[in-house]
Amino acid sequence: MSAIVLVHGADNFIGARLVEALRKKNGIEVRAVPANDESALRRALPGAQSVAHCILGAASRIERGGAMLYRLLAVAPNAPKVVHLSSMTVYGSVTGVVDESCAMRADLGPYSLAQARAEGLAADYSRAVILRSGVEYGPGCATWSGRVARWLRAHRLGDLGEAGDGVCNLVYIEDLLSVMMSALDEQAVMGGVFNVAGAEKPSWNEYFTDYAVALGATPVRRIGPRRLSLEAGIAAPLLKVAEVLAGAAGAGSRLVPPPIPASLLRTCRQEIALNVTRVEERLGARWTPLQEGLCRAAKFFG
Amino acid sequence: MISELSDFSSNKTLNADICIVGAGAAGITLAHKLIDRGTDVLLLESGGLTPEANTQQLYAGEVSDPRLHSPPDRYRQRRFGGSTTIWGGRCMPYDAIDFEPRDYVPHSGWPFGLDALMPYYPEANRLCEAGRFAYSSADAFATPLPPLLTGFDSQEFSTDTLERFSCPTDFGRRYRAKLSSAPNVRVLLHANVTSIRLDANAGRVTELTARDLAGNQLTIVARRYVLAAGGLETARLLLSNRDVQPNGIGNDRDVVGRYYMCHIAGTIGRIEAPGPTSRVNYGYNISAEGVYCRRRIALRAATQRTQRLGNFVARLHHPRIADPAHRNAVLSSLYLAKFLIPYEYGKRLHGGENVSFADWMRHVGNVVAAPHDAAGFAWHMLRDRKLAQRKFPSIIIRPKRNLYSLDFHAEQQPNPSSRVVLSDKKDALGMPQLKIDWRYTEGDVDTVTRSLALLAQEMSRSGAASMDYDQDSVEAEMTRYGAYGGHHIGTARLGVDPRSSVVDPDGLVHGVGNLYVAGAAVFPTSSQANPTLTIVAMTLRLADHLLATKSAP
Repeated sequence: MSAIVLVHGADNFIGARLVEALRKKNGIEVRAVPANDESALRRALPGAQSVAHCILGAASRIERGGAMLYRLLAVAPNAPKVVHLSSMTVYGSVTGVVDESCAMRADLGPYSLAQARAEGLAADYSRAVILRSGVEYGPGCATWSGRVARWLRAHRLGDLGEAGDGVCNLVYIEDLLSVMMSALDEQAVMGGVFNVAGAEKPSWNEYFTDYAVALGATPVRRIGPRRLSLEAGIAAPLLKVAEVLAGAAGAGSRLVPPPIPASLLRTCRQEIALNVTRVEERLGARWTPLQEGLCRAAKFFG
Repeated sequence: MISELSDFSSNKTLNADICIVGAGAAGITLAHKLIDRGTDVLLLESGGLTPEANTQQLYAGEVSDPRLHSPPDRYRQRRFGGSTTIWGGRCMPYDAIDFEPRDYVPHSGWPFGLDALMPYYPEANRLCEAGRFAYSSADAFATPLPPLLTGFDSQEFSTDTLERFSCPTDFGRRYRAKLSSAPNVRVLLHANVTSIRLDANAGRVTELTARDLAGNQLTIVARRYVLAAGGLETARLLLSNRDVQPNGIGNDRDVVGRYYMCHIAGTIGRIEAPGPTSRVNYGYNISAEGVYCRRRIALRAATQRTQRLGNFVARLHHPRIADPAHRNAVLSSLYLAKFLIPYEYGKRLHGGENVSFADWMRHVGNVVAAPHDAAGFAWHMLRDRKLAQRKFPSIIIRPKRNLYSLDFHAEQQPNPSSRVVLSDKKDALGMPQLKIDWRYTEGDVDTVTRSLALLAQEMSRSGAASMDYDQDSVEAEMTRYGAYGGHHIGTARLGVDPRSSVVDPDGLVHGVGNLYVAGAAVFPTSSQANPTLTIVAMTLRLADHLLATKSAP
């Protein structure tokens, strides 16, 4: 692995975990740069042999972070390798088994569009490896383990029936980090694109049910379409406003139950299964068994 | 894609790799399993998406003895989703013994064992939305449940096996969107198969004719055909096509329509357990996945063999509703509100029994004496059944004393004299109607009689309860409501010998190279188990066979 690795987005969960993992390896200097801090990024780039770009969060943040990095790289004296963490949302509303050759539709709203645009910049930069991550879960994963745990405990999610038949492309956080490390390490994959998701492909219903059982949030409730419509159509906007107000008042948004957005329900219906053959073959990806990962997540968020 | 037959110009020919006749539990399971599997599927359904009286009327027919069997248009639904649209949702697998040839059960034995179905049961459970495939309380519950009947410990009966309950899942509603969006599946509504045409050698089906009630007609040409129309209608289709095979398709040896089984069921006796009501836990337990589960008292396989009995299960049950002597406000409320209960449920709940004015008033008195009980029950049924997505499966009364009756459900022996035949009457499409001549045997009476006696003996021996019943009334009670409704089994039974079976172990009609049967029609024996879960499991097995032989001529 390169002696100097820059992690852009070290202030978010995945970036921070990657920094932690890299620092455990001998002979590597890790430069941790918060997302979208241009002056820090400018200072850290010279001499870096590789960059792990992992910007999470809002669409604007993703677009800005990508634009910033690749603009600076265009004028950088060296040309470090970039491991660009993207998302399966770039495929948009595509269904079926999807490998990396599938065209990006990016039609699931601003987030998927932002990821696709950032990927476009990465693709123009010839020394990037793009990782299209599935649904990250595991200890510390606030979005897909922490937030879901709160919904399950409140019995606001559970078995969604037909609404949860979509494919859940879970990737255990440690497995994703391993793939990122391999991508940083492996020179031969430069310019490559990889889907990253576990080999097990549960439905969203199975994920919610198994995770609820692991959490002890039982009995799992069957949630009907009417209730889901109320959650997404009426409760979600109100809760979002409450969340913002609570945050602004300094009361902490955790006081407000997390809204269940319509986008989540759309995701739960989507029958898209990431083909991960390439990442297994070329980056040696291995997957933590789902039940094991769920138990660890449940222990963390329990 | 879901279309109407009338969307196509009349007399057009539709082609497919696999044509499935009937969109019920079997047909929908098969089409669902074949999604994205590289085969072009056409699923024909007689009805539409909602109930229609004129389509349902196509099920009309006769029964030899109305006391013993419900009319043919009851307990069946001719619409997308089939009879799952009125399904109660009880799921349990067949037992290993059900597949064995047993010399004390004539015509028993499957050409394969339970192990052949075990790979398919978990997926069947998922499709039926009955949670994990865990059918013992030890497997299904992390912490032990309190005893079903405290002190009952028997070498002859187990109390650990479970039945699990589907939502219940209406397969039509649940899987409609999936089938509709599947690129390789076409569903055709209002497509009644009126002829199955064979080649001159009767070796293959060459085409089907499908018609709607408005007179539109299509020809269907497929490489393979699967009849998944239910245990009664499949026999009707085979028997009524006689242009090449004069006795009907696959009926050279007069087996089609014979061996017709339902289940032998009834409610009997008075069981009294000592001590507080907490000693008896006969209702539902909810598994971690949120599925209603219930334990049964099941005759062990070893006892079946040594005692030479058919399969048998029983549940503790509330007293007979129509008799106001139970002095229970909830049961009396149910009796008084019986006109609100659908026929299929009411038949065994209140039996359509009418009582005298005096007894009717006693029912009213029971309600008036404990209106809060009746109101509490009404609220429970509204919240946990009517409005719930996963419905509370049945009536469970928490008694003030440990007084119960016994609800039993037993295997019916295969019997060639129990059969369905064609009647002289025809339906609106010119198809001969069915005549049902359901019969039970002395062996069936023997299974119930001796199982009950053994159970009474075991309850007494263990000191867990006393069981009193009129031994002379067993046959009357097991036939009080006739054959168990909705379980139509064995009319195109599976086997290796064409002299005693209609389809081979893969479900292929003997001698007809491209015609399969799916559903309970192919089951050689009836088990104690309700058939839906096994219908789905067997259909998943058939799907694997069809995929494995996709390129066969």
